Amino acid sequence: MIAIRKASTSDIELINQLAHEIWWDTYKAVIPDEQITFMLSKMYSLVALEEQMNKDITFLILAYEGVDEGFAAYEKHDIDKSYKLEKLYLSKTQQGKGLGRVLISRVEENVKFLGASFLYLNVNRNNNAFNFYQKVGYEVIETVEIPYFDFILNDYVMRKELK
Amino acid sequence: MSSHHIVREKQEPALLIVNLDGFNDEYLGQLLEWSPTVIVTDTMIDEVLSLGIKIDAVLENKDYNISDQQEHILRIPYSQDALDKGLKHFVKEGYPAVNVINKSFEFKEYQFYVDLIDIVVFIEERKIYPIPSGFSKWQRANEEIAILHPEYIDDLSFAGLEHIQENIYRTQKDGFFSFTFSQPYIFIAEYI
Repeated sequence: MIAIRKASTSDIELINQLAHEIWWDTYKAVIPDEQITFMLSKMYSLVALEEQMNKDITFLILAYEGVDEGFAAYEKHDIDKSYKLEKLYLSKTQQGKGLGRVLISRVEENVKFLGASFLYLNVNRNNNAFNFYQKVGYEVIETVEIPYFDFILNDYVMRKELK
Repeated sequence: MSSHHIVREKQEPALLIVNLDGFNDEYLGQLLEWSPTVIVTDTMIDEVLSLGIKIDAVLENKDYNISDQQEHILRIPYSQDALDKGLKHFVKEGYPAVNVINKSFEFKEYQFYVDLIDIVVFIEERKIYPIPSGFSKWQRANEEIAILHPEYIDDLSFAGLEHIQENIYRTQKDGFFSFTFSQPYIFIAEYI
């Protein structure tokens, strides 16, 4: 049984915990440890998460068999009818069961209702999630190196047309 | 500064005239009462000017030439969708609200802009606007309220209303009516 709900500020601690667990599993082989620590503190501290919710980023939480196992976040991207998927993470033990597909489908449905023609995302070029995004219909539109404090984010920009 | 100069603080809703056919003059007068910024489509410009309405800008299709006599009016080019271009213009210019006069309503035309600018659409006798779940409003008895796009709505419930048919509801007595649903907002219509 999969349930997806919109997160509120009372879920901030939960998202913080999920991120700290999932990020190490996801990025340990992809980016340096110190970058993981730094980005977690920048983007997933309780204060940072609250700020993001206050500036119109919508968070969804996915529960499987009654246990909260993952989250997604999206926001308006630009005036030409696009939204951006900011986050999509699932517990390592729950990956490969189709839950990611259900979660991203929900995001797509939601932003379609909000008038989006495209959903954009950035993904690290060495992140396995890249294959997942390809499988569910996203295509690479740009290869970017984004300076981020002392680090460089080696990303693909991907997008999907929502029909 | 000239005392004739009207300083607009963008507090009043702007007015976007897409199609004026069949729209009541008295309602039009009310929408113009506080000298809003007015933008019209190229196909409407002659009619609107003939009514003596001051226009700030015209949405101009590249393939459609408006008369040279209106050289002083700002022209905003569009390629396909004048309404979309007009809404985008008001959002970019930082207007908090816009009234739209049109002949028809398509949910898709407004979806993307609902959280960027307050929108009210006027179509003949109807006033259409988005509401969040839980919205409630006082209304007289026996007034009809319509939901514009029932096919997109889940878990709809309502209070203070009687379901007449399909997407039409009617207030039972003087008092508050309300809707709740799981979407972030829906558009409803009331009669003016």
